[in-house]
Amino acid sequence: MRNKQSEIEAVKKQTLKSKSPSFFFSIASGFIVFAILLALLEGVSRSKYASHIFPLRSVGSYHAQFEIKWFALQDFVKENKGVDVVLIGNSMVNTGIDPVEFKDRYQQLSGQHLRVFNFGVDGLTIESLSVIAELINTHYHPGTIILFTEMRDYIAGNGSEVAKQFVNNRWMDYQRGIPSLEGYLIENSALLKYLLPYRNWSNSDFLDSIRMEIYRKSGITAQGYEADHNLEPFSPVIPDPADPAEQPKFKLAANFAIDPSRALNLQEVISLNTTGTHIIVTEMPVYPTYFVYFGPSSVREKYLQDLAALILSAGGQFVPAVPEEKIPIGGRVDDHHLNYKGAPIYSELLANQLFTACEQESTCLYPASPENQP
Amino acid sequence: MSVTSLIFFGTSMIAALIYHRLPKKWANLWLLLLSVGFVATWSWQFVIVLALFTGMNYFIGRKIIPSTPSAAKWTTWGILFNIAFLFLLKYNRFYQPALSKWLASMGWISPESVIVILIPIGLSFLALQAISYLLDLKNKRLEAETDFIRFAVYVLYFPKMLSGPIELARQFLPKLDHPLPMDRQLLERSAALVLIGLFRKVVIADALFNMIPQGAFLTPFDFPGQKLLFYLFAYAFALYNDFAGYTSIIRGVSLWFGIELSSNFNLPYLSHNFTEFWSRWHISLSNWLRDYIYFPSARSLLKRFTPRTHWINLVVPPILTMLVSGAWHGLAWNLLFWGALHGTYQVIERVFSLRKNAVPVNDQPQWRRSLGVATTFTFAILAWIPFRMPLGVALQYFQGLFRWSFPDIIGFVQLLQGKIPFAGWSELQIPNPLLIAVLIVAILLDINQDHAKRDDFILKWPRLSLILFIVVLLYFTFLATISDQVTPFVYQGF
Repeated sequence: MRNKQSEIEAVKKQTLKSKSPSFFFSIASGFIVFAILLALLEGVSRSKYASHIFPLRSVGSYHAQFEIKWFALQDFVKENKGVDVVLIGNSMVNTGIDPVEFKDRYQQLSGQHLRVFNFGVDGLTIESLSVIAELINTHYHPGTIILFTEMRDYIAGNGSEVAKQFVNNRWMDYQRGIPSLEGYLIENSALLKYLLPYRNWSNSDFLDSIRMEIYRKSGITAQGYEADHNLEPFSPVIPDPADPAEQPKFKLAANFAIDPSRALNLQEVISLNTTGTHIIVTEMPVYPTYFVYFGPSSVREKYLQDLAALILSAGGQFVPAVPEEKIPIGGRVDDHHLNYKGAPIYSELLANQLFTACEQESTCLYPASPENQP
Repeated sequence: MSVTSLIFFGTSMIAALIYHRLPKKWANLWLLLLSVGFVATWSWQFVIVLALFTGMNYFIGRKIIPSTPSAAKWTTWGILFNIAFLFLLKYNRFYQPALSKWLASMGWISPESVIVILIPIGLSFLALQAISYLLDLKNKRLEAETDFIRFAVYVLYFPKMLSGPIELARQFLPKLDHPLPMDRQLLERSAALVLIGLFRKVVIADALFNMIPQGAFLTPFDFPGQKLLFYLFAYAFALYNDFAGYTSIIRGVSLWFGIELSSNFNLPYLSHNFTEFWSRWHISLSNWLRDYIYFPSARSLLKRFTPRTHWINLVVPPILTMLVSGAWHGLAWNLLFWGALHGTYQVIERVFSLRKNAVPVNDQPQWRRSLGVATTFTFAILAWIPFRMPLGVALQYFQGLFRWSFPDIIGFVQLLQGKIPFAGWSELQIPNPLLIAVLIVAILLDINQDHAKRDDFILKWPRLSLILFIVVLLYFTFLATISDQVTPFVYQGF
């Protein structure tokens, strides 16, 4: 009898227990807690403390340095209430021009104060730079964009893989007007930008890559300049086509001619002129051994003629490279990159050159128009 | 359509609601339509191939009339058909180049073209199911199914199509007639199974798979022994959680239709011996192998070799069974070796169990039981080495496990202090802490399941733990969604 009673009690207890809204209520609570946490974190991410808590931001591309520069430019614009001159190019620009030295010298010469940002990004060619120029122009409306180009930019297929790293993502699609929820969220959510660097947390090299990103970010100034502290002396050697290590470079540069689609990319950058942004195209002062890969000097000369013609026909302005001999050899890392000693020298030389160009040819640096600035 | 996608869950939920509202006579047709639709999301060609496969097995099944002289003949034809079907499609790499060459020589395709033969999803699982059906008919364990739709649902039921469980017709078909009532208890259980499965897949399995560098299983000598050891642990737990996670998800989804699918995993790494391991790992396959390979071969040998302890009786059935298991996973030397290795483990275990003073597991002291778990786990994960890589590389991996290099402790301290900013974690010869963290989560989950003694163990969790579980799951699902790291289920490839 007692046993039966206790059995009934147990069944009652079980029934009562199963009627409690425990499991689904807990699941729903989990969803609600998650939503509240997201909302709270979104608030924190929009505060000025966020960058102290989370060191990195991302838009979901696979080009870490592009992202570092993109957010550095965003912060720069916020801090300086706009940007006048943006220097775009590849790693040569990244480590070769200190915007502070450049703008100080330019101000010294012209009396004009300019807000200058270095948007040099490793491995980019004109194919991706045309996208970057458009993005920068749409978002920040600088007065002038100086595009640093070079012969490798115009080799078909060169750098296309790197271009994919930052072009193929939802955010970039969204920027180009392709609707996507993910792109919209990345563009508009501060939290998502802070979370995206950790999206590949389970990658085998995640700890290494995140450390590297943080380190690189810490080495980039607020103006986007990343000094190269490599002090190994550069000793110029004429590249040998028989050297297996050099052969890929010779192969890449062989039979050089400007690829039509790359020429189109250049024209796309110059066409930003029509939006009121002044476009200047120039080259970095590379060491002469750099051109050996392309064959006889006539190839280089023809390239320069074609390039100048292309730029002029598109309505842009071309400023030839500063004479390379003006950069001391101790200021170079290799035949095309400058180190932290060479960069300030070149920055001043460039300012001098552009000031002269402004006086003589009206190739001037224009500040951003105030109505376009945040 | 991936079974972890929102569209799969959404469609299945709506389909289940419709299923429960349909008159009984339409219910099976609805399940069949859903299953065909599911196959079509992968490839419409698969629908044709699987229709042929189902039709042929139905036809042969109808021809098997037990106790008649033709029964054995039709059963043999049926088994041959299924094996040939499996070989022709799954192992097409053996003849595909020759076929392309021949077709080109006949001028039917251009010489540069290569014939691509698509392997229908879940074919290995479907073939075993079909063989079991035919053998059960012959052995009078089942009557031939006359309703084609009912039979087709048995073969193609979409939750189990990709990777099982391998259901026996005699167990599955009655479930179609008497689906479980859709009550709160069932809904809670199904939700728990789906959530546990997603957690195992997204938080544990995918993460662990990604954390193993690609080179580790290609050039193991490039890694120190301590890292190889952790990669092996990671692989073992990733494989288990991937497959167990998949099974848990589809069992949960199947419950929405009132159909309880067989359990496929029951904490295999907590097994005390290999006999137990194979009753806990891929249970439906193990049961199939036991019923259709092991028992028949053991019975047949026992008739010729007595006593029971004759070495042939001890050695042949387990080795043969596990070789078949290896071959089912893929026709490759490493998989056959893996099968032979597991067969050998079982033989050794049986020899030990024949000793006079052998004590059954349940009567053993705790230390011996724990030692049994540790030994079984160690040898089971060592066997994953040939399972995962070709034999030559597997040998290198095994050797590599003993080539430890001293971790760079000073470098580690300096790294933490930020004194060597460029040094990567990978240079320190220290296992990835994130990998260790995920392994700990995986082990804790299994311990919790073991204590709860049920596969829907989160139902017993306190509310706070459950909320935390959901938040963690949502967070990692979110990260997985925005990353490009979605890994397909491993057993989907079989």
